[in-house]
Amino acid sequence: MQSILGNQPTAPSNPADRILAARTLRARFAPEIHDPRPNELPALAPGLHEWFAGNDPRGNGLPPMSVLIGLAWRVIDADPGRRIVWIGRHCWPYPPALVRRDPADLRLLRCSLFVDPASKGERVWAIELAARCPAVAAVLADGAGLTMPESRRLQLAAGGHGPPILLARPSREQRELSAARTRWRVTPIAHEGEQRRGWEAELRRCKGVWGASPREDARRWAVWRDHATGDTTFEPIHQTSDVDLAAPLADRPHPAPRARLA
Amino acid sequence: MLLVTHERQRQIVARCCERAASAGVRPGMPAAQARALFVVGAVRIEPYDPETGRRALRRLAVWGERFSPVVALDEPDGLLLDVTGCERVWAGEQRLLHAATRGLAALGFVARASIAPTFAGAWGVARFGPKDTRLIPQGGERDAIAPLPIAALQVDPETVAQLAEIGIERVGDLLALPRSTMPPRFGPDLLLRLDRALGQAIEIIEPVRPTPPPEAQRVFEGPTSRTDAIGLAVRELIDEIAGALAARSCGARRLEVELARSDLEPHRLAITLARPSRDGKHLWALVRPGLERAHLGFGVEGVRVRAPAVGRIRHEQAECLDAYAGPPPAEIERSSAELLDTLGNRLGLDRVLHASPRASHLPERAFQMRRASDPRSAHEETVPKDRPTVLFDRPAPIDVLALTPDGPVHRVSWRGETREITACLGPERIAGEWWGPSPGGTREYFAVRTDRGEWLWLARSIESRRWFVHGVWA
Repeated sequence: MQSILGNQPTAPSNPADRILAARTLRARFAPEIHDPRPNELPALAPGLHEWFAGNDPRGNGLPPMSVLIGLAWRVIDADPGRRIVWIGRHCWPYPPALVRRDPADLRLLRCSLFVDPASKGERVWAIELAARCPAVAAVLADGAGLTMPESRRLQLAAGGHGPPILLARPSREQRELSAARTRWRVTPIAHEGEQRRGWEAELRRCKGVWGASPREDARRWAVWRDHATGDTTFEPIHQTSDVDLAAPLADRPHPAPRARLA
Repeated sequence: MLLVTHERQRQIVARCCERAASAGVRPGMPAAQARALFVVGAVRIEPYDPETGRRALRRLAVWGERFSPVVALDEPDGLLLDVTGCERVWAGEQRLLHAATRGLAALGFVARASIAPTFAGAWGVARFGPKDTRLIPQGGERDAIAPLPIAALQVDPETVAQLAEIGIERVGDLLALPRSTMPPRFGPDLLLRLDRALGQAIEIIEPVRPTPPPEAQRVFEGPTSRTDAIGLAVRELIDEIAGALAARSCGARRLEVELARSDLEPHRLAITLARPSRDGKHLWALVRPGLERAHLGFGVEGVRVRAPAVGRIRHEQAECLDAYAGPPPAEIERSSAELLDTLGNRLGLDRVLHASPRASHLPERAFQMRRASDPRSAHEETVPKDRPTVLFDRPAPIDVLALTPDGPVHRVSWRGETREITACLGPERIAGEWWGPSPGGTREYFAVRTDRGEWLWLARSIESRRWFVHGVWA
């Protein structure tokens, strides 16, 4: 067996080389999480991203709006002049929370468009339409009740060059099937300071990454919203070696012979 | 505000606002001299563009058609309306006069107006009369113009100066002269102007003809219920309308499609656009869903497409194509307008909104939602305080335990769970608006952090002493 697979590429035995090889593979299959900038969030890559508020036991709580507002600000800072579309009244933020105060900055409020579809079908249609519009920088939408075909349709609409679609989904739907590129869970951070409010954003799933379970490969960010300025910052909490390769191929150890009972 | 023009390398005042005129500024005055009448920085000077003023006056003439179907321009700053018979609609000429001046004031214009039996008489009384508004009854034109200066007859300045040399400065003085002596000494124009003011000569005005909206229609040979044929006809008519709009350098702000059904009343579809457009493909994409849902009855005999509201599309400089810079701003703006149109026409214009801040301390009134298709932009630039990211439409009641009355919050019970409070910021007292109804009354707000790390925005009503959760930093 070993001799037959001898020409196959195997993972290097040196740990440093294994990490390097893992990063190379990750850059090939999941470029959104292979970013030299340590603070960059894969949730801003083109595609569908699902966000769950993880602290609600009944699973029908409020969407993680502070984190979504912070992400919208990052999109606007990187790509000013385009629109941010909020789809679904359940996912609308309180408009004054979209303003930075020091210095005064109303760009996000000015470029935000609030859409209130009457049904789920209209909501999916509106998300898809906004995702295909070149004037839209990001779509933030209520993703409650989305089925697998609908999520696949939205993922295709965002494609490889479309805007990020950030869906706020209730936590009771964490086990639902979805074609989303990433899946996140947000929980509040019980910290001591009073000048800022904090949440932890945990990457639970990232499509294209194989060979490691999401739980072991979780990546976490601390999201801080400043009380005085209204600004939101993202700080990585835990950077693991992320994706590891499978162990080198080898023959299985022979099972111990069973004792005959009779 | 001064509008200046250049003459012999000097800035000359061409027009001025009412306040500048009351300060002594007159058209024809050097701008430097006019500027000296004001403190530094109190006067704003802009270049005078006669064409802009002409276009604005024409738009005002179209607005004036609500008072009379015959409106003529009296350039550079006047309108002539033939209101014969229109006073019945307005319950009298006096009411019509007041309605017109009030409407102009609402538009920001300072206006003087007069109604008289003759155009020339009304012109003179409005511009040189003692009052801002005046109604001259039938047969009273002679008495009305007699005390006015000679310039009220619209004669040229040289004639005014010649008459002034012989001591004739008022129209009444001119009326005392023998008619036969006027033409040889001052030319035939003076007598003609006088006769027009008195109603003894005909005066013809050229009314503004509003451009009819672009319209195209097609009649079928017989009633048809084939949607593909009807759609093809509508598509072609839209392209025809788009061509007509291109010839006018305009785009449609509203498009109406009318299907003439053989057995029912006509079926009408209307779409509203956020930005003027003459893109046939885009217009067809907006019309098509409504056309597919239309009830055709026993067949459609003809279709008609018209654009009752149009807007000017400015010519734009083509931009250099740069593959790395993304789409140009004009392309983004066009795509954005198309997105608004598509969303608004399918979901409803009231479901596609913009938000703008308002100067109000009450959280529920600190912003204003308005239609995204509304071309008017918000002017308020209020920067709000730190507010929760989610505000409840209806504050949720909550049980609160404080160790001391009016002291910091210690424990809350909300949604069937008890939570300890680890931080409490406040209170922030927000009173109701005394100038209007404020259902919530005066409240005290606290931002509290639970032992789970959640931040709640609690409100305590001063009147009822009850506690509510008004928002959450979710």
